[in-house]
Amino acid sequence: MSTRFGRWLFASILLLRGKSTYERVRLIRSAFLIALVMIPLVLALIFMDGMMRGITDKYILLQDGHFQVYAREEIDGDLGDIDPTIVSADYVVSGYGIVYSKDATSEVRIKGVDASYFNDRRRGQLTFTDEPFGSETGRLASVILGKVVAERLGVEVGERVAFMVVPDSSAMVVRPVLAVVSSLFSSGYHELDSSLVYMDRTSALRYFPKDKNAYTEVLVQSEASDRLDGIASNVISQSHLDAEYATWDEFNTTVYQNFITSRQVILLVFIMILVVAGVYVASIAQELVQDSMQSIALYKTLGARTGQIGRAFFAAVMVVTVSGMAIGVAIGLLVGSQLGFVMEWLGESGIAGLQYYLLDFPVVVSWSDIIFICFTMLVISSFTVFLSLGRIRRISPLELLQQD
Amino acid sequence: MIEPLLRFDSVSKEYVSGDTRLSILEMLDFSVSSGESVAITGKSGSGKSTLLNIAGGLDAPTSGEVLFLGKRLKGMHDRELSEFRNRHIGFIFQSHILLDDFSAVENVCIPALIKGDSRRKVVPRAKALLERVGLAERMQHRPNKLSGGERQRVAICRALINDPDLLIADEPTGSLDEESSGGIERLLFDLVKEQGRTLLLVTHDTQLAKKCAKVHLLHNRSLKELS
Amino acid sequence: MVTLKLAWRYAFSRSNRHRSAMFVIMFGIAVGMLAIIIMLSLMNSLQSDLLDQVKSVESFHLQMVFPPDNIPDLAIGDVVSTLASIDHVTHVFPHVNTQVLLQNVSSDRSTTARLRIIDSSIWDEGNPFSQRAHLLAGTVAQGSNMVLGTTLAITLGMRSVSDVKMTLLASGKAVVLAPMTISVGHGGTFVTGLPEFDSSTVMMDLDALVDNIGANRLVYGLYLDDATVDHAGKVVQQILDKFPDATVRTWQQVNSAFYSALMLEKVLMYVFLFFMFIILGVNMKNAASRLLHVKQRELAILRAVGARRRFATGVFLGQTAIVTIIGETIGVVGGLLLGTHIGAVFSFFNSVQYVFTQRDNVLLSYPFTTQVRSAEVTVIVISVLLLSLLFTYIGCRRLLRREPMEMLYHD
Repeated sequence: MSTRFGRWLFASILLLRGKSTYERVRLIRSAFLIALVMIPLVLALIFMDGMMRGITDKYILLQDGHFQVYAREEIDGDLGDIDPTIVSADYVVSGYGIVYSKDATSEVRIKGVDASYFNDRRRGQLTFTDEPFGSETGRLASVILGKVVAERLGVEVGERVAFMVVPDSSAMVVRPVLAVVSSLFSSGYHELDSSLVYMDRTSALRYFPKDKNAYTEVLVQSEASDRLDGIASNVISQSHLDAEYATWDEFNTTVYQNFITSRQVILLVFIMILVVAGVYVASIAQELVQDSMQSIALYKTLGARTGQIGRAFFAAVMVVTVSGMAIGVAIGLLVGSQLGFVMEWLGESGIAGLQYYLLDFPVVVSWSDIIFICFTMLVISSFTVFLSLGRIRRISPLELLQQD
Repeated sequence: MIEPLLRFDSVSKEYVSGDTRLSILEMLDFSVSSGESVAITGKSGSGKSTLLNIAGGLDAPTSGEVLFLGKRLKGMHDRELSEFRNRHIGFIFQSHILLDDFSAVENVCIPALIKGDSRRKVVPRAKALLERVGLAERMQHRPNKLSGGERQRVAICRALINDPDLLIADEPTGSLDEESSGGIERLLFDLVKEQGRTLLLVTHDTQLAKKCAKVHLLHNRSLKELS
Repeated sequence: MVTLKLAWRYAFSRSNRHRSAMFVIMFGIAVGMLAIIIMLSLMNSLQSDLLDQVKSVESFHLQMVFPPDNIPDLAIGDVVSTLASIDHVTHVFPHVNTQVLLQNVSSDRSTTARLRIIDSSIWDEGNPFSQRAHLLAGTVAQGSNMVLGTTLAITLGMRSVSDVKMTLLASGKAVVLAPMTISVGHGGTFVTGLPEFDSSTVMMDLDALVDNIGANRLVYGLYLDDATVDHAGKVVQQILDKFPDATVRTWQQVNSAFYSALMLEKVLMYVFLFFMFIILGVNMKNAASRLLHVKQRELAILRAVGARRRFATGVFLGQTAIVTIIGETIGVVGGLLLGTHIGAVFSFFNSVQYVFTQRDNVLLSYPFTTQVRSAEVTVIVISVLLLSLLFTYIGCRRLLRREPMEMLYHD
């Protein structure tokens, strides 16, 4: 017995030859319902991965860099010559302090940078009310506050704020530092906007001695972000530096771990939804078998084996399932690429809880996740359909063809 | 001595329903030789169709042996039994049982496709058979566009497509009117004679039964050859 | 009764070739209910625990402040007594939160922190804070001694005898706020279970510093009895009756963004999980219309002998109700059972994945508990039942509207 009959049967089931309009519509509708299941899963993945990538990018570009090299002095030369994946290397100084106005206080992280720090990549993540460090502030430090901090303190551009900075040595006396707000920034992420302050580097070096607080913050190309240890080691050895380094995930272990955990929870929920979808796919198979019971009995009478018949039905149902999945993923990706409008609308909705989320993020398609959910759907459906098609074994040609 | 094509050795068949045992066939011994036409008659409910189903491997006897070309059907697993039915038996049912989704020629091709023949080889054979039975103009019609007699002719072609050793016909004219019945009877016996086929026919129509070389009467669970 | 009997037969009779479809749907409903109960009970437990910590440790159940330019001429103690006399108020703790700089001279480490100056009676037993917060070492903050969270203590490299300087912003002579540095002793170390609190907070006695910091920054934190915590509207009104100029905020308002985020996550989880029942509903619709197609002759005959139209509708809806209720029962019971042993289940899966990854999974090794809210489960059960009935009705309505002879003719 060859597979010709199996292929023929598969084609006749799938192509619905001779079938009524109802049966054709039913099969197409089944595929679309499967698509309908996949669409929100894909959208949720895009949203989740996009937001996580967006938040990670914010931390990397605005706060920690891809990695930091703890060399006391500014590194000579262009690090891009050592490794072409290095996009920028900025000498910065960083510390913690409390900023206060006459009415309010706020704990902040202070980064001392110069104007060149705000390269194109970083400017893509920020909006400024005024050009960074563009105005003359005399002997006072020039600071750029996050809009959230500014609102909390009740200050605007041009006004003065005071800082208490964490001193280098515990023996040092804490003195207030005055600064002029030269600009306000908004990164779109509340966590950063409420805790990060940029100060001109010259002033910052007065308050945060470079021995303990200065380092070079390095950005690399996105594709190289999984090779940071190698790049950092290379930079240090090629520059003959006696310095250590640390990568961004070491600073943000909690954030990173939260992302991993959230993703796992979401995937767990998806699997539950896919189990129910798998039950639906099984019912498609059941219906097909039920409608073909007499045909199946006849095929068996004429010598077809249960396995041949079962495989043909299985293949037909899986084609419907895969088609539905493909349509769903395609529509999900299409709609997902337009998520920006939805995010913008959500941002303007005023829902307080949304401040914990980043709403301005790039669309990221995690193909591994999409493949994972498609693969899971296939496995679950295969299993449920296989169980359903056990019905074929129980169809007796005798009972259906009883003449006497 | 030439081995008969089909042989029943002390075949019994009973059905059990709860505590009730219903005996349909009891210690049946009979055989069909190659090229013979054999009719089984009897009253309605006497077990004729049960006998045919056992002969065609659709059902198994409670006891006894059924041998086809010397080979025991009992003990064959599903694969062998399916192959046996496909290659050696041609079934003709009372109510044709054609597939409504397929045309006449496609219905005829099904057993050959199951066997593994390619469409390229099968379709010309199927068309030739349909022409032989007078359905040249109706090959592409679906069963719901054919009359009762035409459908039964398609069923006969389907039974013959794989060149079976044994044709099993269960009341082939049972659901047809007199005129159509006559046509089918003539066609069936012409083909049997033409191709030297072996025919096992079940009918309650004694006139039809007399057209066969041998007639057996199934009565009280046993078979008796009528002269 | 006849309706129910027929409905049961349609659903489960062996002669009904659609019986397996009913079992498949029932299984789907059971799985769906199990999933929704487990996910929501996990979420309830996590959120409830977190919110409880926040309410008890961080923000109190209610907060009352006076406008800075209109503080009544009352002693703090009098305000406290007045507030404590209100029904359902169990404790009142005036306090001030402010940012400070800490310098540990002994370890030469410095950091920023949040100082909460509050009466040391908060460490006495019987209030929500003391039920969660535990002193790991030392004694309660008194005089010029501070107690600090464990994580903060580690950051500062604190030892039992550490010389610490604290710089805080106090009311200045010429300016509203001016830095003031004082020496503080290390009274002890506490843990509350709220990581953000433990890593950022140092506590000192109210009396020691309230005059420096200024009573105009005083916040009165109130604890309420359990029944009123989440429904404090009446208490708020009573407070405003006594202090019309005061601003009173509930813990939800104080933590509005955080609370809103949690509610948003829960709503999204509901939407996602309910989606499963839409899929099942479509399944039911198909199954119902197919079964009706098969049974229409039978129903037509029943109609012909006098059964009313709604009898047929009742049979089909009854069948759906039976299948749904059984599925839901299995799902709910399964969900409750699984929820009770969720820790063991996750632990098992963690062990399985450990074999492959040689690492514990953070999610699977977390000591989850579940919190089932019967009101939630009831709403879900009823919603699913109504959804099932609706889909069945949609699947059947056209055929059920036909006349008996029409149905017989169709057959």
